[in-house]
Amino acid sequence: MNASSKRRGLWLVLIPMLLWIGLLFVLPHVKLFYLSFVSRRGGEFTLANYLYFFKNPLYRRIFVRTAVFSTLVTLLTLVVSFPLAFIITKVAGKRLKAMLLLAVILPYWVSELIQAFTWMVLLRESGVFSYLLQRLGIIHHPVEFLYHDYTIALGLVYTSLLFMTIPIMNSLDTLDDSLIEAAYDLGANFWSTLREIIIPHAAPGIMVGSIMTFMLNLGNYVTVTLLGGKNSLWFTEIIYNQFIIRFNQNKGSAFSVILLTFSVVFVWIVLKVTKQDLSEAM
Amino acid sequence: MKRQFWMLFAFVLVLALALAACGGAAKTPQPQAPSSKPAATEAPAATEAPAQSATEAPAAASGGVLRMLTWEGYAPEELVDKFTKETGIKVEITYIGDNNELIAKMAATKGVGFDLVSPTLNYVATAQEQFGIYQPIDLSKVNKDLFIPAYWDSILKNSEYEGKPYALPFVWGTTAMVVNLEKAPDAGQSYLDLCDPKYKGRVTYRAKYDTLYMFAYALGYDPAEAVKNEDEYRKVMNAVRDKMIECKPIVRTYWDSRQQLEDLLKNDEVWVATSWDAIAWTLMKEYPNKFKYVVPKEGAVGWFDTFAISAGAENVDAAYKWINFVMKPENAAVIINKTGYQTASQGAVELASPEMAKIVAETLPPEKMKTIKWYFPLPPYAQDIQADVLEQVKAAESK
Repeated sequence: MNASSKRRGLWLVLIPMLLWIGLLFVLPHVKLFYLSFVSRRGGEFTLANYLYFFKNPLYRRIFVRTAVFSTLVTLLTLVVSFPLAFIITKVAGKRLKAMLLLAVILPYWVSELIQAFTWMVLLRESGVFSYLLQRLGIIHHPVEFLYHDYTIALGLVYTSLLFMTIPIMNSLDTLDDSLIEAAYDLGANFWSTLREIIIPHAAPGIMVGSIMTFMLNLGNYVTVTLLGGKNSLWFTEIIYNQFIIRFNQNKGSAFSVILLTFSVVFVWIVLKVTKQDLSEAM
Repeated sequence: MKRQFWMLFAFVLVLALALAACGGAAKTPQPQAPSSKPAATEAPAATEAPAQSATEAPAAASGGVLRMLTWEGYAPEELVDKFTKETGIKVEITYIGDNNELIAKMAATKGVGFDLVSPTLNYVATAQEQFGIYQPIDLSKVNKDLFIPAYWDSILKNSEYEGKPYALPFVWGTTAMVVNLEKAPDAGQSYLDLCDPKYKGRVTYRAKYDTLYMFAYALGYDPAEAVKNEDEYRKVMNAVRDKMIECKPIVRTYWDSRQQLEDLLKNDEVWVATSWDAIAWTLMKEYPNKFKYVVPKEGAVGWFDTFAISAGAENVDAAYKWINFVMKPENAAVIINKTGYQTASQGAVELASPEMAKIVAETLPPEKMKTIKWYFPLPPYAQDIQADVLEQVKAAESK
């Protein structure tokens, strides 16, 4: 087999994926981009859809809230996932490893919607948690755990746990245990080993996991609206309102482009600041 | 390598565009072929319409497939099975939870993918004007005797656009309050009870248009009149907004779905709520001493859901057959019993279960019927004003 036929074969294999991305991702986004720059009636070029966002303090505030909240949740997910990934790859025996991995994957056998409804059953005032805590004597009257910011955070961490844990596990897998042992032999304590050996090695995985988690949080709709209740307003809901309630595809598209642009730029900046290379990280 | 990639990328794009163009072209010149052509083989626009099992083998040659876009409970399985048995027409149903959702779905494909829809009356003519998603009703195909005459006249008139009727009466109902008689026996005198600090954390309502109207009436405004003028309507809605923000600490959460409201009420988490009559009535059937549907002094808010034929309908005959079928009193009675909704079918109430009829008569007696505030048509600016207000309420900080 010569080089050119090998290459042809490669393209042949790639075609389904390229078709998929071209038809279902690139094309709709081209349309979205186009719609965001034309007026609702008449269809001539305009920047009004974007100006509408930047002039509206309410939308700016919701946008900032969504962005800050997503970032915090991403950090929280990292704090939960990292020890988990470390235990699964380095500490646990074969059985425990399989069990923990299963525990991380199992929730994804049901859809996000079902997950959110399950949280509602558990966390509502008349729900399981409130009942158990009362039986244990920790609280003395029913407590509502739903409809708070921390409920949203809880739900979001849960829905993105897998996407953070797996990449970190991947990168930790390649870390030679003898490096950790060597660090200890040379007098390092737990924290300095973590800082000097483990985290630098896992950095690409952390980066990939964080990017995925951040994007998932930013674009979330179901978990946020169901668990957040009266204080949930998320930027995706504003986009939904533009498309569905106001029938304004153009403003809706502009808002979508703003969200997309922000997440891309934000990720790019974080990659630059942490001196990570995405192609290397992946 | 790089050049090759871009060439391939361009190729994919061109192919995609060509496919999209073909798809569009194949769909437009599709005159209403007589029902011999099974509609199921014609895949609906793949991008938007979530038609269920469109790939299924064509149904029996007799009638093809009827595709409905409607609300939960409007086409009970019992009736669908009976219809299929009688006519040989298969029924595919897509559910909606909101009139705007219905319009957005229809507008995306100009109605292609659905034959029969059930929009609420006040949305019919304005949606037709903006998006052209329906076709005029062919009165020669409908059995007028099945309908209650007063409803027939009023709905045909109120759905008129350019002199032609676009909707037939189907199901109507009211929105008022449901209270927990054990916990809040005195609630329900006025919609302002939703703001009473006595019930802090024990109140729920929708963050939707119907709640805006309730607060507007409770504050002494007439939104149906104010809506005719943009500035006037904004003034009224801003007053409603201020009230709703002031009351935000009282409300536990905003309910979205029937299930959610029932859960909140049944678990005693909420004592005072706004509710569709049908939800409250089915709860009253289950817990006669615990819940009650109450119409406050401002009057219930009323809505009328209709039958409308999609502009892109492929099986118009089946749509009319369904209308004539479901409006027969014995069939409409099934809807009343199952869901509590009232229909425009002449004689259906008499065939419905006496238990339900009693509950309805008790909570919505003739003198309360007179105070119903019907939904009013919304000019495009009113949609935006309402959306603005609701977003501001939802974004307001509250403990």
